[in-house]
Order: sequence, then structure tokens, then C-alpha cells
Amino acid sequence: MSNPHIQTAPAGSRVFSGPILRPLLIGTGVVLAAIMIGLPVGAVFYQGLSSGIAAYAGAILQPDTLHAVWLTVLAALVVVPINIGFGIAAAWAITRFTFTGKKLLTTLIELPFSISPIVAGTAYLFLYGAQGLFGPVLEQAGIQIMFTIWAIFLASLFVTSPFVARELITVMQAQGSEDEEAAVILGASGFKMFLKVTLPKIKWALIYGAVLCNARVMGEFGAVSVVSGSVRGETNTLPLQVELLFQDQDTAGAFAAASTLTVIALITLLIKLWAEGRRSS
Amino acid sequence: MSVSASSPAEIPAAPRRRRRRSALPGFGLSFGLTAFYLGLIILLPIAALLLKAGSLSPSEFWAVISSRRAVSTYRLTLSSALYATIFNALLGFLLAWILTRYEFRGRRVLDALIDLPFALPTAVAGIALTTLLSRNGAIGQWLEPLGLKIAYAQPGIVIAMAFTSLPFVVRTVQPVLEELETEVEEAGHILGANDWQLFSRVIWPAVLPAFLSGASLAFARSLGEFGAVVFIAGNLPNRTEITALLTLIRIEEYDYPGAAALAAVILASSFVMLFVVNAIQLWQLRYVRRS
Amino acid sequence: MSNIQSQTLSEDGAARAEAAGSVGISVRNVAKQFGNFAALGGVSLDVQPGELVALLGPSGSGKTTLLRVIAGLEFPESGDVLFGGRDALSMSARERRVGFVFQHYALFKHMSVEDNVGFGLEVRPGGERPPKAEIRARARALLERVQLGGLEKRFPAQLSGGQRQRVALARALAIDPSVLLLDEPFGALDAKVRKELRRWLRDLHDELGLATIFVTHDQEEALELADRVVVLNKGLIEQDGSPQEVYDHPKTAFVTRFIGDTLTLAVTVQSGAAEVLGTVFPAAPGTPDGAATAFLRPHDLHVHPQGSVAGPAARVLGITPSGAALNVRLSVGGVGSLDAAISRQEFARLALKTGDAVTVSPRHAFIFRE
Repeated sequence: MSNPHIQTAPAGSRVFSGPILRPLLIGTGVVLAAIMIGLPVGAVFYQGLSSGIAAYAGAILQPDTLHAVWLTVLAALVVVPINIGFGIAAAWAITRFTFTGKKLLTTLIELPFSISPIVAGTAYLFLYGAQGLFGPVLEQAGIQIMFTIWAIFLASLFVTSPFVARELITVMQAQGSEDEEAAVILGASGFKMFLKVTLPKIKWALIYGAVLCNARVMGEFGAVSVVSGSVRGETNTLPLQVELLFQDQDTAGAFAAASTLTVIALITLLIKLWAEGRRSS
Repeated sequence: MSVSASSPAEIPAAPRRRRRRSALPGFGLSFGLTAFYLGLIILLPIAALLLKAGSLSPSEFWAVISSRRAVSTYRLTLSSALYATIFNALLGFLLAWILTRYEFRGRRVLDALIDLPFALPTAVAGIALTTLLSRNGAIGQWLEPLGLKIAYAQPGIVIAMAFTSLPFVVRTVQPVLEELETEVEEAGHILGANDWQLFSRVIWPAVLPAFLSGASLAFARSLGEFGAVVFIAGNLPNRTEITALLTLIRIEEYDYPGAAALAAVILASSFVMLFVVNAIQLWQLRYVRRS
Repeated sequence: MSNIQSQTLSEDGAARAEAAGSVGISVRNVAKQFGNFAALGGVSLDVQPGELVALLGPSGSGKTTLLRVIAGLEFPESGDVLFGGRDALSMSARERRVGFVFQHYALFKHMSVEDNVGFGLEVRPGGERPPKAEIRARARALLERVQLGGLEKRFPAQLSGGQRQRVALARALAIDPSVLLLDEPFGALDAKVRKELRRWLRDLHDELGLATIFVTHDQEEALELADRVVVLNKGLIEQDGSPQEVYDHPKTAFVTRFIGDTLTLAVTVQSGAAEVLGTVFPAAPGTPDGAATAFLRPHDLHVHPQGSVAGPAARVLGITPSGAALNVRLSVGGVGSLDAAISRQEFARLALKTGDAVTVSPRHAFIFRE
């Protein structure tokens, strides 16, 4: 979502850079941002550690919570590679060829960004659930998808599919296809061209998109709420576990689990910063 | 050096020629994979949802979506999203402004933090905001005695929505502000314009499309927000219940057609917002005229 | 402008071409559309093995499209392309074994110069790929040949524009192409570098003996370098001939205007000829009677002492130097101002000053109906 940016020009002749206005604007912005963003993060760690380190560790090591961590990591391990593959295919098709319906395809790819996660979950419910489109067929075959980990995978795929695709489309569009044309003329097969010429060029955008995708998968709540059945110790992802503990009034436990997710979010931001720097160079 | 005489001897009996359409390989594979994935993962579920919603007769459908409870969720969700977007539009613009035009210590840190609401799981945001703003929370305890009930009331919903959609306005406005040339402002000053004139006549018009685009994205996100809102909202029917939650409740009550109808309404609002954002972007292209 | 190169391939050149494995290129009636835009409207062209041909024209004329069709980067709606008699359109760009140099070089920025040049050899399928050591040796040899020895380990970002261009050329040559295609090879360079590289490219071509086509919008460049110049306009070939032919005997108004400087005059054609500044010249074949345009080269407008020959009177408005010649601006009775180009000797002989009254007469004019 964010963009590589250049150093700002020195102040002076620019608008609203007077000696009073400038610090006022900066101060207001920083304070408000600190309150809006910093406070909630601080609250997470404060609450998590409020009963002491021992209780904190104990809360995280609860079997249900550990299982939730495992499930969340598993979902990320499954969903992110698949969406990377999709992202590459989509970006390649869209940026390297002309065909009718390209705008439509691009809109479809970005669609999940605009759709509420509850709607996504509900849609899957009505597809694979017992009363859904494929319900009778699946029941006959003895396969259950809804309320299992498979539903979690599918719903997560839906919600996070645009992340890698969008980054790659932007970057590959800007880079143009000349390098790939040169590679093909020099005799490279499609596979070798992709490996030796395309991939090195899109490396950072790919990492950037993958990291965002990962953060979103791990944090997905709305869609997974609908499709997972929220069975404690079985189909609870970490965000669902956080909800569960919070509703149980186990504040310390809830925030301990939440802090793990927050740490992951912060690491995501760091990687994003790093990849962004490399992407714009 | 002949020009265009064609000598039959030169053209061999051509074998069945494969007329390709493009120089680069992989169209079939990439397009096929993309279409397959989109169809399976995105279109199929949405089709199933629409089918389910369509299984209701028009009068049943109307009854569900116009019930008193449902309508109060619309009112609540829409108005909260609106307030949150207005707040974010202002704060977001301010943040984009100071990030692109001033140097100060911690600017890079602030810039990275802007993306936090985007990276942080919504449930985490939800419980954190609830704890802060409830009656005995760090902030709530000061505000509650003043008569400002935040958690379990609409203000809480607005703040939760504002939190999760904050990055949108900042990130859409930032690149446009960055591209404004210093020389344009210097020229304006030399011609005698003051700061306010330059801002209102030169800078603001250039930034407006991106600003509206970001605000629309923020609004759309707020309309659909669930995780961050559902903890702080209190969820009292007809009072502090958002539409997404009502949908979930209908599912838990096994009222599937009802849930489908409500989900269809939310989906429709997403499409409307999608259309609005696209229209703004088209306008922006015409306005800016960049290749 | 002068082309001291021989107009036809010498026996020497032909023998070298054969040894180089060069083939000829035949383009037959190629048409290419982009949506509603007709980039090429039925174009035919022949390039002999070892020939250096320039595709010359303004932007939008279709010259780059034609080059890309030959290379396999675009596929035409209709027409044929043959390499040495073999149908090229049934081959992908990869299979055609052409050397292509892009206008902005398209060097792989993440690879060193050496790796760039060796790329075409690295990506050969297993059986055909030479051992690593040999690839490196061949890359180095090629870099020496393009006078970039010692820069193997550098990266494209560290090179100047002229150096990058030569790396691109070396990279294209590494795969032993049968044909060489260059898209505005000097377009991205500044004037001085351009002039040096032009000469160097011609010499390299003579050494290599490959059929070579290069695209340019610079007529000076085309006339100086090429064995043959093909002038394109709006997707069609206006003229195809030697530099001398195209300059001295342009077939259309467009070619006349595009190649070299021109002075234009409105004239009236009667029975296939028209009077231009007092002298009658034949119009282009097939020009109907009526209004037409006459084109003169500045050096074909001769200046004489007043009254010494038959011709319209003129007055000298100004004199400015222009390279080896002098540009004399004249006000010609009944016509307006025209710029004549006069050699220094001629100028000295006439002893012209601003304000002098003179007589002008055209030596040669091209007449077309536009």
C-alpha cells in the first residue's frame, strides 16, 4: 500500500513552511499519530505483561493458544506461496500481453480489496457449507470443507489474493518488457527468461507483496470467523483465539496472544521498510 | 538491389505456419492460471452467495433487508464510516503533508508506522481499543466522567473504523504531493502569490483526485470493517450493531436466506464504492494527463 | 553529405558475407495493425547478405515496427518474411537467430557486462551450450572487438551511453546471428559520440559482413552509413535506393523534403513541365497539369552578378556562415525570401555584400503535385 519516496526538498520557499506553522503542523500530526497508532500498540504489550512475565509466558504456552499459533502459521505457509504463484501469473498475463478484457481482469483481481471479509466468509459458507451450492455433492462424497482448516485456507486465499498481484503488476508495468524481449531474441526459453531476467528485476516487489500478504493472512479475522466454526483447540486461528480469550474475560491471555500477532506486524513493517528501500533503488 | 519483385523460386512450399500473436511466451499458461484461480477462488463463492440471495422471493428479500433492525445497522454503519472517513481525510492529509514536505527527527519512523493499522490484525486492534477506551481504560477513565461514552457506543465504532482506514488517505495523497515540483511554488511566490493562494489554487487542485480516491477507499474499508469494530461496539441490536455483525448473527441463528440477503446488501455497497473509486481515477487521468 | 562508399557490394564484400554465414532478408507485402492504427500497409523489401540498409523516416512511419516484425517481436497481419529463403514467420523470435540492438539497449542491469554479453550462450539448451570457460572467453573477445576490453566486470549503470551501446552490440553478436538489426542505435547519445560511433559501426559492419538493417530518423546518418536507404512514411515505402539516388533523384515530395534541406515554391505544371524562377524543368512523371510544388536544394540556387544571366532579380538580405559554405538569404522578386547555399570560393568570386542586387537561377528543381 505504501510507496517508495524521495527525500524532501529543503524548506524555505515552499508553502506553509513558516517558523510557526511548520512546527505546529508537525507537532499536531505527530501527536495525533502517536495517540492513534502508538497507544493501541502500547496497550497490547502493557496489558499482556500486566500480570508479569511468568503469567505472560504461561498464557502463550497454553495448549489451545499454541495450537492457534500453529494453525495461523500453517495457513500462512499454505496461502502465501499459492498467492505468490497467482500473483506472478496474473502480472505476467496483464503486463506483457494485449487482449480484450484486460481491464475487467484487473478489476476482478483487485475485487477482494473492496469486499468485506464477512461477505467473503459468507460466500464460502454458501458454496461449500451443508446448505450451499456444493453442499449435497460434498456430503455424498463424504468430504467436509466448511468448518475445517480447508475452509480457513480458502477464505484466506480469497481475502489476500490481490496483495502480491497488485505489487507485481505495478512494478512490471513500469519496467516494460524490453529486457524480456532481449532475452527471447538472444535465445532464452520462457522458463530461462523468467528465471534469469524477470525474477531478479521483480525480486523486491515480490518480497514486499509476500510480506503484506503474510501479515494479512495471519491477522485475518472476519472471513475466518464465519468459516472456521471456531472450535477451541481445533479450528481456531490466533485472531479467533484472541477473541475467545477476551470474551472469556481472560484479558492477560488474550493480550499475550495478541502481542505475538503484534510482534509479527512490527516485523512485517521492518521487512517492508527494508524491501521498499531496495525496490526503489 | 531489387525492390519488390517477388520471385516464386524464393518462397518455399511453406509448412503449416503457426501464426503467433506475441513475441513473449507464456500467455496461454499465465492467462489460463489466472482465469482458473479467479474463477475458483473469487467468482464461484460470490456466485454462490448471489444464488442464495436470489433464492428469496423479492418480497422476502425486501422484508429482510428493510427490517427495523437491519435498517438501524445501515444507519449506524454508514454514519460511522462517514465520520471516520472525514476524520481520516483531515488527519491523513495532514500526515501526508508533514511526511512529504518537512524534515524532522523520527520522520522515517512515523512513515513506517502509518502502515501499522494495515499490518496489524483487526482483532488485536479491536481488543486494544476496547481496553483503552472502556470505562476503566487508560483513556476512557478520563472521558467517561465527562459524559463521553466511547466504548460500547458509536464514538467507539468511529474510532475503530478510523484506526483501520488511516493508511488509505495518507498513502494515496503522499505520491501526488511528492511529485509537486518546488519550482512551481517558487514561481508562484515570485509572481506574488501568498501561501494560501498557492495552496488553494495550485496544490489543492492537483491533490484533490488522489485525496478523494483515498477517502473513498477509506470509506469502503470502514463500511466492511468487522474485527476492529465488533469488540468495541457493544453490539446492542438497533443501537450499536453493524451490518456485518448482523449478518454473522443470522448465520449463527441458521437463518441462511436472511444472512445471504444482508451479505448481498454489503456486497452491493462494495460494488458501488468500487465504481466510485474507478470513476475518480478516470477523472484523475483526464485531469492530470500523464502517460 | 557524401557517401564515398561504393554503391554496390564489391566482390570482396560479397565473399566476406558468405564466409560470415550471412543470409539475405526478404520482406513481402507485410501489413501490421495496432487496433485501428495501420502501422505498416503492405511493405516489401530485399536485403542482400552483407548489405547495410537504413530504414529512414519520421516517428510513426512504421520503421521500428518493420524492424520488430523482422526480428519476431511483432507478428504481421499479412505478408511474408524470409531469411535466406526460409519462412521466418513460422519461427519465434528465439528461433530466428537475429542480432537485435534496442534503442535503449535493454541491458540486464543486475548482470555484469561480461554476463550480459555471454547471456545468449548461457541460455542455450544443454547440448548446444559451450562450457563456462569458453563462454567467458568469447565474451571477452567480443568486448575487445568493440573496444571495451577491461570493462568485463563492470555493471551497466557504471558505463557511459556509448559504452552501453557497444555492450548491447557485443551481446547481440555473441550468438553468431545471421542478420543484425539495430533500432535507432545512436538515438540516445549526444552529437559528438554519435558521429564517432557512426564511423565505427560502418567499419565493424564491413568486417562482419552480415546483412544489417538499422532504423533512424536522422537522414544525415542514413545517407552517410548505408549501402541503401529505404524511406518510410505512414507505413509505406516512399523510396528504396542508394543514398545518391535518394538525394539526387527523389521520387516523391515527401522524400525530397525529408532528405536534405529544401526551398519550396508554388508553380504551375503544363504538359509535364513547369517554370521555376525563369527556367523550365520537367515535373515528376505523371504529374497532372495545374498547381504543383517545386523543391530546390539550397546549393542548386545559383547567384550571379546582376543581369549577367537570364533570371529573376534578387537582393541580398543577409549572409551567415554555415559549415564549409555560406548561407545567403535573398529576397527574390515576386517570391519572397529564399536561402541559397554558396561555397566560399564562389562567394569570394562574387564579392557579395548585404544589400547587393543579383540575379538568381536554379540549376535543378524537383516538381511534384502534393
